[in-house]
Amino acid sequence: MATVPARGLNPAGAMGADFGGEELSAHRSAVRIGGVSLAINGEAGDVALHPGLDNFKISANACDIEILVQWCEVMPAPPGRKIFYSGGVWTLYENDFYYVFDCETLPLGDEPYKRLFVNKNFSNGELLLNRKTVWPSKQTCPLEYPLDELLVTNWLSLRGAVEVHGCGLLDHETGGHLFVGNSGAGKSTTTELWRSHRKAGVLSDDRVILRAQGPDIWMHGTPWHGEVALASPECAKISRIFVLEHGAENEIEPLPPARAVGELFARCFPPFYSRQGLESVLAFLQHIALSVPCYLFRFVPDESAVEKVLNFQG
Amino acid sequence: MEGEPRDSEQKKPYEPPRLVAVSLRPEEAVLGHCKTMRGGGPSTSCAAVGTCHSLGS
Repeated sequence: MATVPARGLNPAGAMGADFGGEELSAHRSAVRIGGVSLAINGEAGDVALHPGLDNFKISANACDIEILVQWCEVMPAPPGRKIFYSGGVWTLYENDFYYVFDCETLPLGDEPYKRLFVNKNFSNGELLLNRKTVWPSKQTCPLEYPLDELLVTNWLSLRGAVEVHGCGLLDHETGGHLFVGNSGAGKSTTTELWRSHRKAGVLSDDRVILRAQGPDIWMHGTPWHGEVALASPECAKISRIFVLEHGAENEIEPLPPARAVGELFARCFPPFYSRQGLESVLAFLQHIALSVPCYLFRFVPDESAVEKVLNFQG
Repeated sequence: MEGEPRDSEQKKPYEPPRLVAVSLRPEEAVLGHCKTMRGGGPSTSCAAVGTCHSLGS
């Protein structure tokens, strides 16, 4: 069971901040995403979860991931060695005890605008907001993208679960279908087709969390949506997985498990910097490939693609 | 005769292993490339921060 944040994860001496001796603030917000509960705790009412998480809000005293938010005046060099650069706004450092995610971008200066200290099982962290670069406003959203997604996906990857690029659709007759694909593969198109022709429920049009539940694989909606902007906190059992590709005609080709693992891996968010996390993700993808029929689906973007899947006897 | 394999139990013909290359795109596999207007920086839009781009399919 998770507890409230353990103060002191951030080395106060190095940061020039005081994290000891105070009781947890009442300024707390929590969400549940893919079955993972995540809370932020602020010292004052000036931090909040961003509106995109509203549908995922919960009330919980203890969450799987607890984050304490603090402000700092100075952001010194990160403690630890650099182990990964995302190519985007964040860089990862580590030492023997915790990870440090630095978020920085040139338009905001040469210091990180925020820094997340998190323990190595991603259950507890402290987030520093840099007063120099985080512009004052009534409420700041400290877990704005990508930190919320990083926390959840890293937590999941250590516990036999994974987030994939895919649209999760729930058909009222044929059950849950997961269509995975990278950008441009047709997730939004597929989502729109199934909505308009089957009135299918949509868990997400872009990113879905996969978890085992007994012998079955379930998919969970996430707030990190795509172009269709559909994000549901619901979940559904997966009956079939289709890897999307554009084609000249509709074709469905069964994927052997080894190939399915490779195709799923290329469409998920693995923690490249963690051997344990990578092994866990690969093992789970293998479990998925052996548990759920997986297919390559070359499709044309019209109603016939929906009919092809509905009539397919795999 | 007992002991003889039925048709359904006969071995599949041998297929030599094939190597299939699966393309891994770093910009897709690593979080941090901002999507739509979720924001990539403090109290800003993607455009204001200047590091994010949409990845929608």
